[in-house]
Amino acid sequence: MASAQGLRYASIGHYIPTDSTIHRLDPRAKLLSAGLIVIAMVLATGQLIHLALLAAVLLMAALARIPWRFLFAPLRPLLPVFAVLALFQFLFAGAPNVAGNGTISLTLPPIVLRLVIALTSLVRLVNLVLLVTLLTSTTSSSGLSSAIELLLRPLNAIGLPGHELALVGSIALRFMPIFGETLESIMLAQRARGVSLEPRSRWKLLDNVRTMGNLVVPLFVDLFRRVDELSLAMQARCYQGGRGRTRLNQPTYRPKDYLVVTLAALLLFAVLAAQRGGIA
Amino acid sequence: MQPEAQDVRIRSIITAGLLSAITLLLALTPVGFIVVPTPAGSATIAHIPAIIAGILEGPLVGLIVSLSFGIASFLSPLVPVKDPFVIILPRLLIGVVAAWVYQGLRRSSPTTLTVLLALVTAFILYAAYEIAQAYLWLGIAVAVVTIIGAVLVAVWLRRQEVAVVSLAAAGIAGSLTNTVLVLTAAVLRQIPGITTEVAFGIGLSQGIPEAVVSAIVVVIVVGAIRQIGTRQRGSRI
Repeated sequence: MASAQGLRYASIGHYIPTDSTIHRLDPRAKLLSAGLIVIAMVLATGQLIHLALLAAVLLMAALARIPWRFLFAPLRPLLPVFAVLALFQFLFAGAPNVAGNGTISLTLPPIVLRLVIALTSLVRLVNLVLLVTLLTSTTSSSGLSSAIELLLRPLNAIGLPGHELALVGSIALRFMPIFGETLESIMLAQRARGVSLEPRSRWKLLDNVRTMGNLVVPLFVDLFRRVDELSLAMQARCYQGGRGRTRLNQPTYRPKDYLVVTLAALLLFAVLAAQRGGIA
Repeated sequence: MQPEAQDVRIRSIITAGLLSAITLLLALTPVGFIVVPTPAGSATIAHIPAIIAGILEGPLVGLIVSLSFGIASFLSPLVPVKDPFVIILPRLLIGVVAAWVYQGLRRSSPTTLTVLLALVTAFILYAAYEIAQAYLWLGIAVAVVTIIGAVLVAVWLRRQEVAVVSLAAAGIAGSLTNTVLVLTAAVLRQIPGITTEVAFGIGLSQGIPEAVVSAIVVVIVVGAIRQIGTRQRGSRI
């Protein structure tokens, strides 16, 4: 809250065109694989599995030729929060058996075990952030939105508006960094007026709410002005929804797209199998 | 001039998209969080766009923005629990409940609101009585706090417009939907470290401040947008 700097860098959703193998994959294949890997990351509890997943994500980033700087940028503003979370896990993690199946043996002294548990959850969080960053930096937002739309198409039959949902998703991803910048300028504007933005003691709830209101209210007012502008712009361009709409670049599955989805599915199964077998 | 159906549709899509963008911003960066060291993570204002979406655009847009909130919390590194049945599913109802509460109360009279307040107070007092069976002092404390709160709210009710009251009620309802349903789901899914007692503790220590914050922010924000109860227009930023 206190720092306005780095807010816009915190945003995922910056596309970095390097035209690598991963960039040229079908966006649907990328989205599906990312979904499968996220499930694997969420379900995994073992330390070694998380390290293996981290290695896999880093390998993919290397394949995508994403500069490390950009890959790790979203992590930077989160580091203090991560530190608090890890410390908290370290201090208050339940008895070691809470960690579940597939964890290291219980022969270690409890203090080391707690440290390992804390670090593991840290690695899992870092993994998730890196994967989402990787997906959005290798897939353009129009690619992502057409992927969502095409993947949701089967659900049109039961009345789910796939095109509209995809549009909502792509507007959200596109505007997140913009609102980050808006929030930054609101912070500067309020500071210039002499408004204190530092949160006070956590017991001064009303003061803290007022502080937050000084930022949030202008943000929402700006949002609804953008709603007016955007809907006027879309009406002026005769937007008619998804019906009868064709696309310039019709994505097509190629063998390597199937290969990638299969690999991701295999990864998920491998994680599940390792989990069940108590390996790792 | 009455706007055409397609225009309303476009507006809903865009509102849902932009409110989802703010949800993502609030949920994925530390801006929208008051970090509280509890197992659930932190007190958040990231659910407020979902409530506002429900109030301004109805249950469907509320549902979509709530879905964004669920997905954002699921992906958020700040939320340690990763179980879609706890993190995403219960949160879908935030915007819907807020929309229903707002639409239900918007046209009611101050008398109806007072009666509703009395009913809610009676319900909490009954809960306090139940608690007192197990922990006497806790039940008494809850009862005293409830009565003081009810009197304050009743006084405030008499002095405010119905619009403001229904906004605050929708804010509280949406926020409590989040707290209660997520914690219930966490207990049902047996998330490690969340027992029934812990869930009650988190519910009271986080749910109530979050509900208060959400009521205040919703009233201020929607008031500013709909020009309810505001006197002057401010600067652009």
